[in-house]
Amino acid sequence: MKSLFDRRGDDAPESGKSSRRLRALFVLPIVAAAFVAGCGSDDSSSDTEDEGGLTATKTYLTDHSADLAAETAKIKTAANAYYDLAKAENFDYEKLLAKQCDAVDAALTDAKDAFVAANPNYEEMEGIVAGIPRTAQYDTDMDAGSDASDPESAVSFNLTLPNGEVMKQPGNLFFLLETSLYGTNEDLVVKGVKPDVNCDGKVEFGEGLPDANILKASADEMDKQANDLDADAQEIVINESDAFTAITVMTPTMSEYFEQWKNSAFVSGQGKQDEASFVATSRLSDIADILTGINFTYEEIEPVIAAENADQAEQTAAELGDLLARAEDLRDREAGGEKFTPEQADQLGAEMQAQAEKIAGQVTQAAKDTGVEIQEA
Amino acid sequence: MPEAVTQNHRSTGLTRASAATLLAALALVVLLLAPARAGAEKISAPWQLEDEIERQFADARTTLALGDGDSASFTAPGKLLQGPPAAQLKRFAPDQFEALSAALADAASAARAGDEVKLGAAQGDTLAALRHGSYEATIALTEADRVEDAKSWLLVRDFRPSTKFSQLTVEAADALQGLESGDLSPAEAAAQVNKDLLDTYQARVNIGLGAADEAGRKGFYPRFADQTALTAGYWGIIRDRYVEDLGEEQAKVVDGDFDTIAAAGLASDYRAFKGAAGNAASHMEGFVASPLTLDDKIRRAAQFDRFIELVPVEYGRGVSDGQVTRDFEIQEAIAFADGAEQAIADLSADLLDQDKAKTRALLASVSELQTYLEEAAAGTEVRDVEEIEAISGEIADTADSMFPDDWQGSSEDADYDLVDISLDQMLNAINAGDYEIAEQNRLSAYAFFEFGPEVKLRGFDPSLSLEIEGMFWYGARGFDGLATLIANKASGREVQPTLVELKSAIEDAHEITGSNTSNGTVITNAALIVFREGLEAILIIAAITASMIGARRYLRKPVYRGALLAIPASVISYAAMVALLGSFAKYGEKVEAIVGLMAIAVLLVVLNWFLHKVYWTEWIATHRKKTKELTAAVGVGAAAGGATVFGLYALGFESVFREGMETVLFLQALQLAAGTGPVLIGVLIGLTAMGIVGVLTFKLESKLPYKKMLIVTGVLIAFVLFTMVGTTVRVMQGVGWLPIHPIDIEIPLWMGNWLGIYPSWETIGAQVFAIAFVVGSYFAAGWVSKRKLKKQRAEYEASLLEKEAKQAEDSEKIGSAAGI
Repeated sequence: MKSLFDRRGDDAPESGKSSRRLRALFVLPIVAAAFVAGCGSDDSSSDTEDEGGLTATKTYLTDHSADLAAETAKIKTAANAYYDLAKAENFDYEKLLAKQCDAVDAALTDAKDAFVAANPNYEEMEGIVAGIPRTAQYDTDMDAGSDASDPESAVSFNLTLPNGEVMKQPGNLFFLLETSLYGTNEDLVVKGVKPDVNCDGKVEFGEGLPDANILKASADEMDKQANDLDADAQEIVINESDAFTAITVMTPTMSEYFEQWKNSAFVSGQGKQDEASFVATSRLSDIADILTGINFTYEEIEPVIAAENADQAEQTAAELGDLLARAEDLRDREAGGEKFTPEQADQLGAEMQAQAEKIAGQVTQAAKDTGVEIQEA
Repeated sequence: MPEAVTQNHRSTGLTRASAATLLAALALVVLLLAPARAGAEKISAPWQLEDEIERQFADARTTLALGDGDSASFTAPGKLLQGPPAAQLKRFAPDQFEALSAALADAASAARAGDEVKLGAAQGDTLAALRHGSYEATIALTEADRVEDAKSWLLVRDFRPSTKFSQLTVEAADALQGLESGDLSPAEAAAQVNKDLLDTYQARVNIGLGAADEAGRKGFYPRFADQTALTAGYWGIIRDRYVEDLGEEQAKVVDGDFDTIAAAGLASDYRAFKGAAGNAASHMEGFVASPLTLDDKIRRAAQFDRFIELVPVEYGRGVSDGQVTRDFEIQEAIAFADGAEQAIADLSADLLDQDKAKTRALLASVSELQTYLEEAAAGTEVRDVEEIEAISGEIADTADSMFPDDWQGSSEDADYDLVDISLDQMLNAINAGDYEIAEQNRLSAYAFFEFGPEVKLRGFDPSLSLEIEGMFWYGARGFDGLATLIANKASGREVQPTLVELKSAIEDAHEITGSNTSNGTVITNAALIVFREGLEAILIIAAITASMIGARRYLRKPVYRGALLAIPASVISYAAMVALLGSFAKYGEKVEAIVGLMAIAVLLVVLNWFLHKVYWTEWIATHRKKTKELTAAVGVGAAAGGATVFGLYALGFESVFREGMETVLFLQALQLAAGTGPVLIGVLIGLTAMGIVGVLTFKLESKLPYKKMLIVTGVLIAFVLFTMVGTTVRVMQGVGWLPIHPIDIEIPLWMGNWLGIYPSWETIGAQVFAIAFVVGSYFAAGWVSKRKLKKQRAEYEASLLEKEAKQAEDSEKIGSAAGI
């Protein structure tokens, strides 16, 4: 029998041939494997957009996100000024109002003015921010999220106050700021002190004496989130799928907004409302602002739908335009001093809600026709 | 003072407000009247007819509701119904056209009279007649294969709104697309359109009754009137289907209910409405206009089971010692109970057919459970966890006893639902800062995916499957993995990008696994699966047998035999498991983990044998070859014992068995989707390709010089061990047998797939340990072998001395003898 050593001895001088065989032995399965890996990989990406995406919608978004960041910076400055005043008096608010009433009034008025500018600015882009799943968490945290009692829609942050207390999932930031600044949420304001912030001897609706710790933490967090949103907005590429998704997600939410409008001070009357928020700006105004953003987004995808079904494109454009016109009309009437009864609000809201649901259905149908994916929210 | 608030205060300023109102009213009249006239004249498409009619109503009703006038304008029916859509409607749905004309005339009259209630009722009648007509026209045109016309009428429809548990569906649009592309026949497309629209309008009947009830209760009579009229009109759309199931006589009874409902709306009579609505609900109990498909039923049944199972879990987390300790868990429990209620409501028609009393009791129990949860949320009464567990258990048992066997199969849609629900729960838990629960939910979502659709997906699109796995675990597509994010306690916002990308990928997977697949795709995929899995097996077998040449060639036989035996064993085991367990998939990953551990154990034994008996002995022999006796000794040393032969047999078996089981699973997914024929063709192609590569590999291997072969073998065995350890640890993490501690580094997906490298301390740690073990074994074996050789040599030298001594002694003896 030929021994192992004999065999080795035969091949002892290393030859080029054996090296090639060695390489081949390694390479053969690897090449085959690479072939298999290559063959098996269908490109699953459905993104067929140009790299820039929907540029007009993006510009709309970034313009608004930059403006929002500018306004939240003002809220932050004012809230911090108020906090410093309260801290200087060791959070003795009675003393604070007695000694620094003008300064307090100035700080809170600045914060409210900035709030009134920031909120509609946000609402105008809310249709895009909330409608695109990649940015939707900003909407939950800043404008739409509830507190921890409703886990399905609760915000994702805890608020650590300057005094070390932690408010776990306290609700959205606009809500915190608005209801503390306007004094409609007793958990967020100073208790036991008459909130005569402008020291004119009487307390008017909308006058509130916020807990300085809460206001400062809320304003700081809001500013941080607004800046994060602005940074992300600069980076994001908005594609057709985002636009279709935004419209189908956001349009039917009108129902909720009308409900909030009906229950707000604007319809129910000051002090009789069920809604603590939507004091500074009517929810009707928000509805019109949101629809403005949705309409703007639709305009950019309308040609895509029209290429497949011109009737469909025209129908949705007409319905969206109509819905927006109605919302603006009501908003302007309300701003002009007209007061709506709960029944009027109910009927008008229901009609507009039905129209919004139809639009969502139409856009979903159009997404099918055009092969665009509606993303999971 | 902020502007908006200030404006409210200013609103008492009468002059300014009045002027603003007047201006606004004027603007509205100008705005609304102008397009109305222009619109009525240019109606050329069905949607324009609907749009114009809706606009007329909205304007007129707004005018009256806001008190802008005592009467409102409304275009005459003759003007609205004069374009091509009206003509088509008259042709395809003459009854509805007549009803539409009459309702529009009522509307014009009510607007003139400023009667809000009558105008509301006319709106309901009008829209119902128009949409009923559109329904008839769409079906007729679809059956006539007039796709474009059907599409234009399909734009005039209502939609079933989406809920938390059901997305907005547009199957009718899908059907027309299928008709256009030739995938569906006109009859098939019409049936699908019919199904979608019937489902929509039945849902709308229920929604309308609810809305009418609310409006009537509040005394909002114009809205009450429009909802009652609309709902009665929508009943007309689903009536024919009702007749099919329950007969004309019973349908006439329901006609009576809806006539009363409509009349109650017009008469602002809420009490009459309540009675008739109750009767209608009772007469329609169990009727489903658009019966669910079997797959729908499986999906609902799976949702129901899962939701009911989750209710006590969530409740238990939220309640302690009779107190609600975590509100959000109670809310989750409520959400699941609501989901269960929706699912069982959809199934109730079938269940009522089976056993009315039992079904009603089941529905009542679900309702009772919801009440208990609501009470806990409101803080009025907090039931013990055991009580909620008991009632949930009873509900589950009752449902289980009633659900037919064919509802209890697996449903891909249900699996996807469950993945989605678990991911949402995960995000909720992250937002609440409860990372332990978040991780449990992540693993649940992964398990639903892994044991359900993933098997099929890997058959159709393995790279997408890998990407999804990557996002569940350590990252893919440039996004961090969920396992990593949760381990790092990332915030909800930080998790969101991965979650969105993962959901999008899962949606793609749903489309791929749910779509019809061409035979070509199935053949290609089957061939690729066999080829890919076969290659892995070849690599392992080649590594093991590489050194078995010369005197040890006979050792190849047990490896080959084990490998060959594994092929039928895979098929038989799979069939047996399916027969015994119903669904093998549920246990697939655990089986994979166990087989993986066994394979590692055997591989370590073989590695040890290789290092001791082959490598070091050969190495020593190479450098210190002395005599033929030593060579003979090596030959003896290299001979394997019975235990080693068994180990080799087992290794060959397990190496192929692992791949075999996977292959059979994937092929079954393809077979279910496309039948046996294309899969068999694919398998044959794959086997042929694999055979060619296998023959070439083994041929090359046999021609390599021995020294190189030793290196190749050592490297390959170490490589196989390294990969197997990584993959097995990852699988053990997947089934929850090992914890996960991610390492924050990005590792490409292919490295996980081909090298078993995943960025966690457990996987990489185990691999480092495995390599350390190989290196340690190498030196240990060297030390032992050298020692043994030294001993052998000492013995040999001693034996030589002994031999020499003996020879000397013998010589002496011979000499002495000769001397004698």
